[in-house]
Amino acid sequence: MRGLRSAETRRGLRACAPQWHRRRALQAVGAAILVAGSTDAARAAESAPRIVALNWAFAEILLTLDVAPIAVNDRFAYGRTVSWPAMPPAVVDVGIGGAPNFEALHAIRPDRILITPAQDYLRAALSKIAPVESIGLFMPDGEPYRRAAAATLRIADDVGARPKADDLLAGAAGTIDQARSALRDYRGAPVYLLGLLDNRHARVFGRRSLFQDVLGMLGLRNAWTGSTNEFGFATIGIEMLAQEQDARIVNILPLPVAARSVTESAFWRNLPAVNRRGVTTIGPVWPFGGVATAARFAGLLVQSLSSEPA
Amino acid sequence: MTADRIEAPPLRFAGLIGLAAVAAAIAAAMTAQTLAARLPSDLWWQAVTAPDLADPRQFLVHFAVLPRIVTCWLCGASLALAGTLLQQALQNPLVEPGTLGLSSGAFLALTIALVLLPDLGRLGQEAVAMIGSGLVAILVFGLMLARQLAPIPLLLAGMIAGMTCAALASCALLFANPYDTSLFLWGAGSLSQNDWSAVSLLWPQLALCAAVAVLLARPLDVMGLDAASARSLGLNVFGVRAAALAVATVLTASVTAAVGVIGFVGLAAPALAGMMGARRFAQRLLWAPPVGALLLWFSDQFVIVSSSLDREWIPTGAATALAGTPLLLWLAARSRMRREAPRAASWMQAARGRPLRLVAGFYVLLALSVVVSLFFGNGVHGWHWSDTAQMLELSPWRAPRLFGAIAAGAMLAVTGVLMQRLTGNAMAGPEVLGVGSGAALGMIALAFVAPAMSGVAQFIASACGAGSVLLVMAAMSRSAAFDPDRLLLVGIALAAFLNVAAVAVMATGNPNVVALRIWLSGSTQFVMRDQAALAIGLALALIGISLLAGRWLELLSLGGSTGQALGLNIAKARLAILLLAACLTAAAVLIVGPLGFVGLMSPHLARMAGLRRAGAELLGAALLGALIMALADWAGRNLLFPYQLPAGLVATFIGGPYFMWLMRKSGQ
Repeated sequence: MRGLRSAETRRGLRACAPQWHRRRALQAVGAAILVAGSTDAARAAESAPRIVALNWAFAEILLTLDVAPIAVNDRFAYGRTVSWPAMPPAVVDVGIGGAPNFEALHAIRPDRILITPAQDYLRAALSKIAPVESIGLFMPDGEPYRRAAAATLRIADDVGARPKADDLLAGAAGTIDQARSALRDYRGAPVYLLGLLDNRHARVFGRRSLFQDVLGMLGLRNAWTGSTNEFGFATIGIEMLAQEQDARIVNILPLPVAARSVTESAFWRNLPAVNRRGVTTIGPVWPFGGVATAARFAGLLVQSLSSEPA
Repeated sequence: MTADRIEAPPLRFAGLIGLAAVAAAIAAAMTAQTLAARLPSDLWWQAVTAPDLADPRQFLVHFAVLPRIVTCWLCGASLALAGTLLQQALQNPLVEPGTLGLSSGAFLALTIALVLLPDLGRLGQEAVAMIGSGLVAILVFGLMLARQLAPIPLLLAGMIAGMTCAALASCALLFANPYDTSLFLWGAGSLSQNDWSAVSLLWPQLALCAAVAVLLARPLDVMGLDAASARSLGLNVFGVRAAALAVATVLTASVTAAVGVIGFVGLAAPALAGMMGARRFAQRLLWAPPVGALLLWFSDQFVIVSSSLDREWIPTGAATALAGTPLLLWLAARSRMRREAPRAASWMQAARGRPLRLVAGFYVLLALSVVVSLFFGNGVHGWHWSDTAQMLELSPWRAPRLFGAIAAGAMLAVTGVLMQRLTGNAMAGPEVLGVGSGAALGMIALAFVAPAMSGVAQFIASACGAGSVLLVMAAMSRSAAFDPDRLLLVGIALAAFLNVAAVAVMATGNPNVVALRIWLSGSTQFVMRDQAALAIGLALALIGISLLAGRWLELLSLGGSTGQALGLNIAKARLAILLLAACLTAAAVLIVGPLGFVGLMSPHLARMAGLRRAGAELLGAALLGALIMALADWAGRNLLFPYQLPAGLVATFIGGPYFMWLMRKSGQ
């Protein structure tokens, strides 16, 4: 993969960026017409720009735009934690997102590296390898869904897949609308969105989380009204769940190894929420993903809640 | 060995007892407040004995609030009992379950078990913790059998084993699901409970161990004499020691399995009990567990009351240092410590002839390691030797971190030499002094104030932090004219306190601290070229200055009075050496975070190789420290490509087992 373009060609391509984008967009449209619906990996890899995603949300956006990233962080853990969308085997692992391997990045010769503002300390080192683009999804003023939509459009412009992005966003909005009407008759309890951490602690998702945006769009009430960090969750002891007595618990997979036995404990079974309303389990779904994950979460929520009596 | 028992003048007795009573009253008041917030007081008794489970308030009190309090008491008492036994058996007031690596061993075993055997029940976890703690104990004590379990080598071996276990465990945490914080939470010592299972497992073990401890009280009391006298009285010194250590192992394992790693209680409680006037061992055995229970209870209630209703701002395991450290420092500053006899024996052994050849040999090894590190490594396409062109292409990412690591290793090693000769205590090192932590905290403060940091600003902040710690230590120690053991005690307490403050600061979730967390783990990945050049320059300059102080170091290691008789101005010399050590530590911490291991180990390796004179030891230790860090940097970069192990962690893996093996064979 290293020898496909010489240094001069790459520099030349970057210099005439607008024409390059237009040419790439035309090529993409033409390819789409000729090979309708095909996602041939080799051909796509040759024509698509080589983008490194140092955050799983960006990887998700790229994959749902049918452009595989050439490298991603924490590839090893991706299958266990996120698993959707499926990561093609050819994607290179560059280490942990907080400390990616510079030599590996240099070796694969990327055209662009995507980071979040939390990784800005990497900018100086990464700029020596490829142009760096920083996109923030979870910021102190919240609204991650809107930011994820904007990020999808921005990344789509980078790879020349704008039509696909528009389709994606429209599809997600449609899914969520459908979910909202399916839940119109759900006059049920407010929900706790829970990610168990171990036998005694859990992550509860509230204000500023992606899931909260979806809940708002679905017209559901979140039982957790306490403070959250800028990723939209709070780490609490499970006993805090006893405060809201009329709530329902939605347990979000994956379940960490340390939390396997919590559902058998006497405490859990006697929690008011568990006792009166039972526990719903959904997922695995990634709490820090993008628009496609949000739509998928809405769908999963509808499946589990609409089958329950109000 | 010396028997440094911290003694308080009798007049203090009443005052300190009063202090304890006040603390107990405050803790009780805070508990009452927490309970009252959840449940009206007329329902309290019902909630304890026959709770109405349909009432969520009583449910909470019965299943969450009360078990937490009782677990606090049991854990505090267990750790204090373990600490008392260890301190008496080893005749050293600075020993605790953490120092001997027992807590870390249990924690590592539990971490591994959670990954490999996720369906293990509570009893299984207890067993695993005991196995882990026991294995570390057997390893440490088995290796030190050849030295008759002499206190200082045992302590060293225990500390190294503990650091190795902690490093292994944090590696597992680094590469486990990166968004899975469960192991981190539990490792930090959270006392949150949701049933009585922890209590039901803790109290039988505590009762059994307390019974055995009572049986051991008489023999351990005799251990207060030196080993020869004890043996002449018919005591089986080894057997009694082993028994005491076994009991401490069981206690530590039970606490770690229940609530994770809780530090400082095992160190503080016996010391406080001693300061309150419990001078005989039997008295300490009686009073230390309640003091430990009180300490932990107070810390936990403080955490609960000062948190918002939603979540805790710091795990209790870290908060124990916040509660215990200032109190201990204050008490240590006011009580008199028995002066130690000069411990010059190890440094006065005959030096090897021709030290320069050895030093030159170390230099050649270092040069070789530099070449290997730059040319050989792992990559996207596997292991390969680079040719010159490839090496130059990759050197922007290989050379700065390599030379930064070398400089930091050398500086830390020299700091270790300075501190060990200054205090006459083989356990001394930059981390033990708290200077490394002070420098780290200076860096963290700067990251909050000015996120865009320049190299010079970083060094100034780091040096300010280190210097402040140094000033505090000097002020606290002034009355005893820098008595070495008091310096060490103060340093350890300060290091614990500052580490806790760093943890609390990191827990705020400020995005700037992500980079800091990686740096604090000892990673060399982000060293830039100008930083590396600065580090090399500083290293050469400061090590050169240290060599000039060679004569002072020789005289200081002869002990206070001898040195003074030979014309040394003790206070001035000590102050100058402390300042030098602070600058060295600040510079090293700037590069690789607060590592203490290399600084602890390199002087020992240099002495074991036969370098005994101060100048030769300085040079040899510096080169060895640089060599270890170079190898650690290379291994961290390549072994798990593309994942990178921080060089500090790898240095612990390399150094720990090898060092323990060397400890077994040769004298110090």
